[in-house]
Amino acid sequence: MPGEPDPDRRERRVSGDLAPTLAALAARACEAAGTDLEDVLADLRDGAHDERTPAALRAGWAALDLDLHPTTTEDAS
Amino acid sequence: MSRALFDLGARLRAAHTGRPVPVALYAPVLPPTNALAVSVDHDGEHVYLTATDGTTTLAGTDRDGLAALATLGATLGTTHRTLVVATRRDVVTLAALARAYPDEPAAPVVGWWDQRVDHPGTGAVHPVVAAARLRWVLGVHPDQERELDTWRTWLNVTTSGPHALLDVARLTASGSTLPGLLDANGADSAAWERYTQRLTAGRPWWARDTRADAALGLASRSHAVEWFESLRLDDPLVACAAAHDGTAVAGRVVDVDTASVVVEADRPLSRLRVDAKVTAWAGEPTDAGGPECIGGRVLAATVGTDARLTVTVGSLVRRPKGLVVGDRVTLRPGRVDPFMQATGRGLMAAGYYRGANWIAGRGQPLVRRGDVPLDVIVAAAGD
Repeated sequence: MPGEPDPDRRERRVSGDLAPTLAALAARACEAAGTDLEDVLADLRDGAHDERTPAALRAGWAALDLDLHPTTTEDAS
Repeated sequence: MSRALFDLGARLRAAHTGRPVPVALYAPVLPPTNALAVSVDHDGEHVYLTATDGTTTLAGTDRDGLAALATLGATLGTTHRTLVVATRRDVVTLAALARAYPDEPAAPVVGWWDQRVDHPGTGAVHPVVAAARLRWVLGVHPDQERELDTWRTWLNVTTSGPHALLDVARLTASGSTLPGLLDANGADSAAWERYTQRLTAGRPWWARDTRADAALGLASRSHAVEWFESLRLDDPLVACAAAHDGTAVAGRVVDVDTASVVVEADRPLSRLRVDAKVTAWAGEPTDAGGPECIGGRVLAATVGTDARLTVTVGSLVRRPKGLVVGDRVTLRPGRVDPFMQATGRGLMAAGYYRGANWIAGRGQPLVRRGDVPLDVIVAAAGD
């Protein structure tokens, strides 16, 4: 049924390897954003695309993958 | 909320990879100059210091601690040194200790560090935890990031005490330095020179500021905050995060002529107020630091019935060359010029010693009334 949590995913508890204090913080933030931490982590870690994952959270997760090159002194001059 | 979620995303990624996630492309601090690292501990009665210059390590309690700093070179010399501590609280503790033993040779140097720590971007004091948090985010609760040991673990620093402080500081300052940050070196050197000259002229280092000095000191601190925040927006990773709190606004040019440029923002989120000075670079937040393509003031910021935010920039300082409808740009607050700030402070100083300036102790302050933005009132109420 749409909207029902996937029992298998619940079983895995992908947030289980987060530090408890971080997991609690993240769960509260996800709840406030209208989603669920387990679903968000499954989306970001495993690519189980979930449209409810907030764009800002996804951007923060992906910031590590940005292809950026620091300007050197030579570039600047 | 958007910014909080962005930060949380980076934090979850760090937890997933088990490695710190960079939140800045450039080193947000200057490499320590002839650093002196000090571990500070206190039990409410005594202050225990362990200090090192990287070669020699000395420890002492209370006055002996200050003597140890002097032995390691914390004295009034021709050039300043960088103090490396865990947190700003340690500087406060050191300053209280220095005031308790004001005749110790290291005491006036501590007094100077206590002044400079209020100037973001300074190379005079390196609070390790705060500096590292400008560079990385860790996969832990934010409260845990305030502990030095958390950083030691995540950065694989195996040393302890003041040597660990030095190691974390070196890691934080490694790589390319944030462009423009080197100007802070000049400001630190000038501040050191003024400070030592005053003391040489016979002014006690612990003397309270005059009202004019206090006002100028406040302006100097405030300017440093504005300058450093402005400089940081030239870091692409910082700009990416800033796009989620409205400090940087990415969007598409929808109208352009010689008098104004209209930008349709990607999201209805902007802190760029009407009449604020703004500038823009071509492209996305990841292109931060690129050449300026728009410079002017916000004429209007409106949200349409389609919930789209458009920002109109006018009072252009130059014609928008080569900019056409459809181009991607990122708007940001106008850049802060440290030389203009210094000139401004020079004018302030001249004003304090002229006429009936009440800050200089002459006359009474004039009551002036004006409009205050609602968020300023709310922030003041919160304080």
